[in-house]
Amino acid sequence: MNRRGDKDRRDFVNDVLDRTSGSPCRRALELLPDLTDGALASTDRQLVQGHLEHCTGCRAVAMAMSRMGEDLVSLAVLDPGEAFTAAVLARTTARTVAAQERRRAEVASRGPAGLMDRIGRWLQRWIAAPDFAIQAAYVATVLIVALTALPISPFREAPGKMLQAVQASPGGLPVVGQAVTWSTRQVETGAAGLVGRVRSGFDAAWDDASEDWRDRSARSAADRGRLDASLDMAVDEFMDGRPAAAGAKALEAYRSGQAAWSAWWAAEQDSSEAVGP
Amino acid sequence: MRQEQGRVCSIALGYVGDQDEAFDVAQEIFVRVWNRLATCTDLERFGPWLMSIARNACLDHLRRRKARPPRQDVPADEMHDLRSGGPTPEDTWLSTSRQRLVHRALGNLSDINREIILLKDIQGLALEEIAGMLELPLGTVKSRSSRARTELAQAIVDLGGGPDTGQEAVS
Repeated sequence: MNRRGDKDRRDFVNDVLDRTSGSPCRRALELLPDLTDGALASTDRQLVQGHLEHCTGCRAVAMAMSRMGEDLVSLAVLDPGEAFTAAVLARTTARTVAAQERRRAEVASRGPAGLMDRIGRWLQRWIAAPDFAIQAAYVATVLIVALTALPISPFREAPGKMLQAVQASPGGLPVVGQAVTWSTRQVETGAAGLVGRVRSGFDAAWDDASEDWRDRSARSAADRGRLDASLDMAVDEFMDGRPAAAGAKALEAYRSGQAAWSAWWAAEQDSSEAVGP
Repeated sequence: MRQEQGRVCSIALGYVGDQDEAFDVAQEIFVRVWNRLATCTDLERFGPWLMSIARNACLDHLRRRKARPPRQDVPADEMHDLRSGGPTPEDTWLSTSRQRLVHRALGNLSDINREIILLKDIQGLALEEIAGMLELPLGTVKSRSSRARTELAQAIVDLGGGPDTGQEAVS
């Protein structure tokens, strides 16, 4: 019983020493946050409040702490102004577009879908080309001439009939109807023959072109071989660190190329001369 | 975004200390949020998630700033000539002398104490959330929070925010 009483006394003394020894200001400052929050046990609260009554430095810190809570909360929001939202939207939009481009590139590198995507982009570039309108007008003119102005054109009488219809207007409207009927009949009856003629003509032209191509290839073969060899040697010399020798070989390649070019076109000149007057 | 931008800008300013840089970092934060929005599956956790992205973006910015030379070499005594006449958003933000005082005192704290004050006392995050974000034990965050508040109060007093400024005593 006495032992237990001794232990209680020792614990009490140690507890009091713990709470009161060392720097009283340091101890009070440690406990100030809990005091401000109302979370301090009554013994400690009395000790700290007793210290604050006599210590102006710690009292000033306690006052500052009790007040700063609402000041800190008022710093939680900083308005960046109207331009901020627009700037963020511009950046996220730009990234979205870039991501779409990346995805499109990934698709372009895969399978049939990629092939279709490449074809689509090629057409898009072609249509967007500055001279597309001129090319389209040229093709349209050729088609109109082929359909209406040549001796074998299926609609060669159509312009005359349309002109008659316009000149006879409005009494000549039936002529327009006749022209349309005639054109339709021409298409129905003459399409098969036209297709056959076009196909045979195309085959003959293809054969001629193939033969001509073979002739030209044979004439220029030797020079093209020298061109390839010179180019290979030029690259080798360059890779071996001999730029002067590489330049000489490149010059040889240039001359071989010129010769090959002349041989190629000489074939056409010969054939032109052969069929000339 | 409009709902959160003020908060995000405040966090960025708390970390980087300069208003223009803070707005740049805040933009970067929202771009990151936009890119990673699909990873935020729990809307109730959006706040801490946003805060975590904001913190990482600010720390990345501070690392980059350390690695590069200062952006400007205008002498300090000529800097006041560069300011426009009107109030900046920061001036408007720090509308009272008390707020300016607290803002200055925050600048005198150590990085870790300022960060804990910023997350807990300014942005109102729970200690558990801060512990998770900083990867520290809960007890450590709690003791650091108490120490940070004491340090901030001491800094306010050192800057002249003592009893003569009309504060009320703790009862």
